[in-house]
Amino acid sequence: MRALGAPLLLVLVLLALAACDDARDRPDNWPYVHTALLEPACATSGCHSGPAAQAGVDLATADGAYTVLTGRVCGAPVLPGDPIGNFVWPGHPESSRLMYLLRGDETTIMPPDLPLPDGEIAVVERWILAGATCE
Amino acid sequence: MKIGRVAILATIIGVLAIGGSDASAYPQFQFSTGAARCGECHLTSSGGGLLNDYGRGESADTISGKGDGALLHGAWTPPAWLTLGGDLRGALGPKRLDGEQPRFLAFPMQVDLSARVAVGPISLTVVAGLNGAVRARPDGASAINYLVSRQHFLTYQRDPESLTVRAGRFSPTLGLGTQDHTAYVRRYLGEYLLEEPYALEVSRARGRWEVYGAAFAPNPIVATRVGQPSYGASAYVERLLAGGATAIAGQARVAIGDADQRVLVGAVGKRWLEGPKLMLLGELDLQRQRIPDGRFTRYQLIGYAGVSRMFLPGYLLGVAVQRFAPDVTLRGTTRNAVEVNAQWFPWAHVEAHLLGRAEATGGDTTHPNLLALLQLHYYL
Repeated sequence: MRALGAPLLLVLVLLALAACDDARDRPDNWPYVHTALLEPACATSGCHSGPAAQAGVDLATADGAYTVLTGRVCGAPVLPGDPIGNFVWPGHPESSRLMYLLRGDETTIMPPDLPLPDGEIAVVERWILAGATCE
Repeated sequence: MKIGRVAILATIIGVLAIGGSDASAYPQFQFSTGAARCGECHLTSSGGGLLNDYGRGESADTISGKGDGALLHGAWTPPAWLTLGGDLRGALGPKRLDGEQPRFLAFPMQVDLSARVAVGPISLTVVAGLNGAVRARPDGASAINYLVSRQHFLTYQRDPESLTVRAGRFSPTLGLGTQDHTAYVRRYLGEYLLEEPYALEVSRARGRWEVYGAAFAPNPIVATRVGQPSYGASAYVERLLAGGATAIAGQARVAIGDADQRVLVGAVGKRWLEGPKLMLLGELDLQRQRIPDGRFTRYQLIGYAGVSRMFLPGYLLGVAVQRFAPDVTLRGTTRNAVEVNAQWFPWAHVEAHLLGRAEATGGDTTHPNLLALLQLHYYL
C-alpha cells in the first residue's frame, strides 16, 4: 500500500490543482505551441503529416510546420519586404488565417474531427501576438 | 465562436475515413465469450489481428451462431504453415460541417490483408493495405500514398505459455487494446493510425499472469512515419483474479524524443459480471510530458470506462465515457465523450457496427459535437 502512496498523492494534488491555470500561464513559444498543441491535433495520419499531407500542409516537424505556417525559415533573418506568412501574420492574430481555421470563422473548422478547445487556441493566439518566432 | 455550436456533425468521420481501424481486438469479448485471455482466440497473445482456429470457430459458433468462421467460409484451407486473413471495412453516415449542408457519405475505411508464415516456433506476420482509403491524394502521388504495411514482425514462440519474443513494426502491448483507434486511450497515447513504432517485445502469458516488456524506436522510414518520433520502453503486467472473471493490469512507458519526453503510468481493469452478463472495462493513465525547448512540463490524464453486454448469439451493446485532459491544470482544455455502440454479428465474418458519440471540448458540455456512424465490416 505504501508503494501506491506517491502516485496516489500526485493524482490527488493534480486533481486539487485541476484547471486552475489559464492560457496566460502557458509558454507562448513555438516549441510549446507545436509540440503540445498543433502536432498532436493536426499531424495525424492522412491529415497534415507525411507525403499525403492534405493541401500540402505538413505539420509533423517543428521546423517544417513553422515554414509552412509563417512562410519563414526558422533561424533565418527576417528581411524588410519579406512576404507575410501563409497562415500566420506575426503580431496580427486578427489577420492570421490560422486563427480563422482554428475557430471555424467563415471557413471549415480545423481540425474537423475534434476542434481545439478555447484554452489551447488562446495560447496559439498569444504566440502570434508575441511575434510568432520559432524560439 | 463556432466550436461549441450544436451540430449533427460527423466529425469523427474525417478521422475514421483516413485508413480505418487496425485489426486490434475487441476487449469486450474477453470473459464474456468464455475466453479468459485474448491469446486463446488470437495468434498474438495480447490479442488483435489474425485469429487461430479456435478463434475462428468461436466467431461462428459462439458470437454469430451462424456460418463457418474458417478462411473463405471453409472453401479453401491453407497449409498449416500459412495463416491468412484480412479486414474490409466501410462506413455510412451523415456529415455536416459548419456552414455546409449535411451530406451523406459512403466510403471505404479499411482494406487490409494479413499473412503469417510459420516455420517451427518462428513466424513472420505482415499486415498491409490501403493507406488513406478515402482522402484525396496530392498530385504526383506515389505508391506509398496508396499502400502501407502497418505491421510486420517476426515472432518466436514455442507454445502459448512459453517465453515469446516479437520484433518488427507493431504497437507494444499497452492498455485495453480496443479496435477503435479514435478512443482517447489510443488516439492520445501514441496508438493512433500508422503510429506503430519498431519494437522488440518479450512476453510471457502463464497461469494468472501476462507480462510484456518492450523497447521501441521510431519508424525509420520518414515517409510513413506518423506521430512524435521517440525512443523508449514500456511494460504491461496483467493478472487474472476472482476465478478468472476479473483482470487488473498496471502499465508504464517512457518515450524520449527530440521534441518531448513522456512518462506514463496507468492501470487497466476488466470485470465480468456473470449474473447480469455485463462486461466492465476501464483504463486510467497519467502522463508527464516535458517539452525542453518549450521550457514547460505538463501532466495529462486519459480515462476510459465502459460497460457492455453480449446477447449471444449475434449482438453486443455497450456504452462508454472517455476523458482526456491534455494539461490538467489548464482551464478549458478537457475533452469528454459519451458513446453508445451497437454491434450485430449476423453471420461469421460479418459485423455491422452503429456508433453514436457526443463529444465536448473545453468542458463545455452544452454544445457537443455529435456523430452517428454505421460501419460494415467483413473479415476474411
